[in-house]
Amino acid sequence: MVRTDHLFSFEKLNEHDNGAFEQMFHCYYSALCFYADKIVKDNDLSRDIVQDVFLKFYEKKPVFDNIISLRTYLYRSVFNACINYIKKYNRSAPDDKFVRNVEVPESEDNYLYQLESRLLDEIFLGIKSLPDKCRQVFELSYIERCSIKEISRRLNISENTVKSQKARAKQLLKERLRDLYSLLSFIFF
Amino acid sequence: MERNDVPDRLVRTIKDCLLGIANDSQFEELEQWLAADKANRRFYERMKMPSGISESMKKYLDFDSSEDIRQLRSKIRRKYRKSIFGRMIRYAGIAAVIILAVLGGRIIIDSSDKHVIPIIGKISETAVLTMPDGSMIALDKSTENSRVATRENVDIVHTENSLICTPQSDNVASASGEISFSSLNVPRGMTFNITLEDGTHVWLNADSRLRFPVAFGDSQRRVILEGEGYFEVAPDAKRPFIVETANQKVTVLGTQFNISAYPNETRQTTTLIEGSISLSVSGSAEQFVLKPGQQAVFSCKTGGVVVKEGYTEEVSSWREGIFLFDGDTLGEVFVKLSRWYDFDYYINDGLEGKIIRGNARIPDDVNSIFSIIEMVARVEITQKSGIIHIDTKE
Repeated sequence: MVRTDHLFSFEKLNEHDNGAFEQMFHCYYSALCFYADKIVKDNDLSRDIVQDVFLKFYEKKPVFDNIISLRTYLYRSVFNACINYIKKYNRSAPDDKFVRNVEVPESEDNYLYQLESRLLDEIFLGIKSLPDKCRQVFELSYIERCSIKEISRRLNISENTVKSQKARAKQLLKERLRDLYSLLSFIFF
Repeated sequence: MERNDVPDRLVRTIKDCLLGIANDSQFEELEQWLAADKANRRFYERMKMPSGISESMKKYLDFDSSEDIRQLRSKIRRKYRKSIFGRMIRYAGIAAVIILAVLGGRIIIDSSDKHVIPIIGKISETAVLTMPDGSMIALDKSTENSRVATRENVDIVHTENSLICTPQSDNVASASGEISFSSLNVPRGMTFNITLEDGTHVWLNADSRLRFPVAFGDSQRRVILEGEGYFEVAPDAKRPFIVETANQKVTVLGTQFNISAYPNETRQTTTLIEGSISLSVSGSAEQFVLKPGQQAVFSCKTGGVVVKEGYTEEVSSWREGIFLFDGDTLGEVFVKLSRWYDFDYYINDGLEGKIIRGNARIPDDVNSIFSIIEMVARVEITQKSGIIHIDTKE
């Protein structure tokens, strides 16, 4: 499930509230993993790296003035963790690095990796801003690949309603995503 | 050039351009950005290609926070276990939970459809006082801080979550003739306390009833309990204080103790904190005299009583809104929880008897407790068609 809509209370996070911590995790996780993957080029490793960053965050409980410094901290922590990994990896298996093509990124690349991660967050926000029922149907249908019957059962609505919500979601996305919609059509539709 | 943070504005501009919803000034901004660096242009060209953007979106969707939060939780749990293990092996499990609970933690169970557990509301019922004539008084906001009844020269005043019985003069006990009982009924989802005419203080746990005379007689002070209560009995050598439950009778002089005697539980426990009490089981002459720190466990199945050592005030931690499940079975924990939060549940085969240790502050929202239980018991708690299911963790 896409999780870009999780808002969290910044104040509560600074008060070390666990709920806020987990919501922050939902907010940034996908994009940070995507970013890490750009650098280390391995899905599972990226997950590990990002989770470890959150684990450290949980232990250290840093406090931030604003959301931008929080975000900068997270991206920088992930970047550093990736670099540490790459350095260690290249020391232990210097010949493999060309096979996997992992290298410390140029700062130019790093900037664009971050930009792309953030861009994806923004794009998925568009999907998240669909009306509730509509979005649930959309997610179950196009992301979880559930059948109409299954959606009808899970959301406790009639199959006809599922069909009409699906059509509505498509229509709304067409309006909201316009150019992108045609690009996405073969992922989702 | 060091370019560390990407400004929000730029991200939005590029997004709007990609989505085809940008305005003129945004396009202008984009043009400037594209002209600034060849790499920028290459990037944008790639994002505009169907293969480019869809690859990225698929990748992004691979990273599912609602799945992976479980991994993070278990990493946190393991870490805390490890660091505390050396010092306090015995309490390691509990400690991890306490740390989470004490931090004021609300661990929100992820809300992907599969796991959605709607916040189960506390029940809005109020405590009810029933007078001997059968009249019932709801102890809600409307009666707060006012006198709700006067009987046998005793004023009964309702303050927030408590009733106070105050004699109008010193000679209430002289009320002669037969003793009539009033009843205080505490619903699920709250605790309530009452100060009786003699100054004895009783805390009643959720889903409990206390029958008591507004004025005790001359010879004894007798009350009847169903559910759980913590008693601080005012000393009065002339009139012993007697607590009766369905199967037991506890006689005291002046002391503090906790009785848990819920009809739907298989055992009833009486724990002495201070002073001395003697306990007998209905239909038996045998007396069990408890010393402070001892707990008498009455088994409803066998009818026998076992006296155990080493209990402290923790048994009445419910008074402070703390859930303690120290060595309780999962089944017992859920009986208690459903007393606080109104829900139906189903415990999967074989899990009922699983023993768990931990504690949690009773929050507004049962989900926090569920996720603590998920962690300590290594189970998965989900909701399917309105029923909470407790399953083995995959």
